[in-house]
Amino acid sequence: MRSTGEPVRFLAGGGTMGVRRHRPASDSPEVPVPVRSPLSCIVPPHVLARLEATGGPDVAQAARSTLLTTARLRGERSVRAALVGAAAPAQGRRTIFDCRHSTDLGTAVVARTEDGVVSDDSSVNQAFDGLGATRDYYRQVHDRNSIDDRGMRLDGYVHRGVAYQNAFWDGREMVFGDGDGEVFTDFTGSLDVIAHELTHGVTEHTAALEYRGQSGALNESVSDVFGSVVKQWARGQSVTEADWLIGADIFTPAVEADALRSMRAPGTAYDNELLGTDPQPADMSGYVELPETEEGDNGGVHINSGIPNRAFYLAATGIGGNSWEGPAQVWYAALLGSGPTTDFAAFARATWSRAGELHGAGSSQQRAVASAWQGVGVPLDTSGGVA
Amino acid sequence: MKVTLTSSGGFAAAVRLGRPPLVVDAAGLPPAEAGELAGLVTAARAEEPAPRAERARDAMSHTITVEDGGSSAVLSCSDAAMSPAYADLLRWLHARATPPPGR
Repeated sequence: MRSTGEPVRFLAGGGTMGVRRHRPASDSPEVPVPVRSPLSCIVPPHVLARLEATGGPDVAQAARSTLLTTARLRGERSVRAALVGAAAPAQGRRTIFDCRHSTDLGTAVVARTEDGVVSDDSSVNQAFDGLGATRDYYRQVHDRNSIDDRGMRLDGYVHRGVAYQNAFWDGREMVFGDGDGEVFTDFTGSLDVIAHELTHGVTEHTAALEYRGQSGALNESVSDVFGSVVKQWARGQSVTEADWLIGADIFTPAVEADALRSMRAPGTAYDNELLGTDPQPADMSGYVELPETEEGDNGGVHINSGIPNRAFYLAATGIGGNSWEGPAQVWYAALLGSGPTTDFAAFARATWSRAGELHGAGSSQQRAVASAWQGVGVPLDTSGGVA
Repeated sequence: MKVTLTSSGGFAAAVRLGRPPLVVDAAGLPPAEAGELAGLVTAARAEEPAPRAERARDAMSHTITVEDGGSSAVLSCSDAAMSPAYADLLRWLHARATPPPGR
């Protein structure tokens, strides 16, 4: 990990180093993407759910895949239409750029490519590996082909600015700072942070949740949920083994903090003179009303995300096993079926409905999801069956 | 000339929420540094404001308020769309004041 002020190291023998940033020419015109479902989408969801629950392994897998595809199409129809003419599939090929402490991404240089050699810069390699793990998670667990499900390139920028204490998604690429070395350290050092930022791209290409108020807090929560799940998947941890922390690795050892956020117990990640007290609420009784301005964190999107974060934790631990096998499938399907203004209650109903479709109405999984939302005080409308 | 910087948002937005702004008063600076600050402010004000980064997520937002001789100007910028002159001014301010955590 690089400390502030240390000279930028260049990739020894790397033919791509020193080359100014170059976005590969894109690409051929859009072609329709076939639906990759082994079962016809005209099969009603409740029948698919029944097949998933009672069929043999192959039938169940096919039914689950079709249910997810149906949800995906439900959520992405408008997105697909808007993307006509966009870049052709690239299978999520990674490129890591070194900003060399500039804030101008246009002056960054290529530091590692998908087929290039390993860098001698740990930030470059951590970003490369983290983006790869997240891409592989989405591909293997959710059958999703990169951020846009069409193979979008994954461009990561490291060493942005001087002692920059942040990581962000700029609408097209992921950008990471080094931290100041006193409070925050290198933001590429935390897989959940990398997966969090990449998931902002996934959300943008699916539900496109507005970044304010409850939809904004959901947007943040979805990134935390999949940030944590990707970490659990990469480590092979069950829901009982996972730490359920976000950003546990971004503080220096000198800072007394477990992490930046706790999904298990929002509001307890830190409590010290330097950082103050973790302000995240654990349930709706503590919902923080803030102005929907930049100074108000757009209505507290990073604050109130603690509520749906804990709902996911409760659902995952209620279902048990591995988070990516049950709960994450439900949350992902709900994301695909959500829209820009989806609020907590609507998302709660979506997860309950998807749990019913994927695991059966009245199943233990669906009951765990209902109990989770009840546990954080979000009203769950179950009238009329699945949505 | 007094320059006030407020930063908000970001992956660690909760840490920054409600933190006091960073303030630099040119009256308390050596003449050379005061001149440097004035030059950076002039350069930042001369640039076209960067477009709002509507699609950015977790990017920090910065507001620099310049009070000088009874007039004031507000310069706003996002990490996701920052001009070089604004970045230079921001870096200078950070280097000359004790910032709150997660500046």
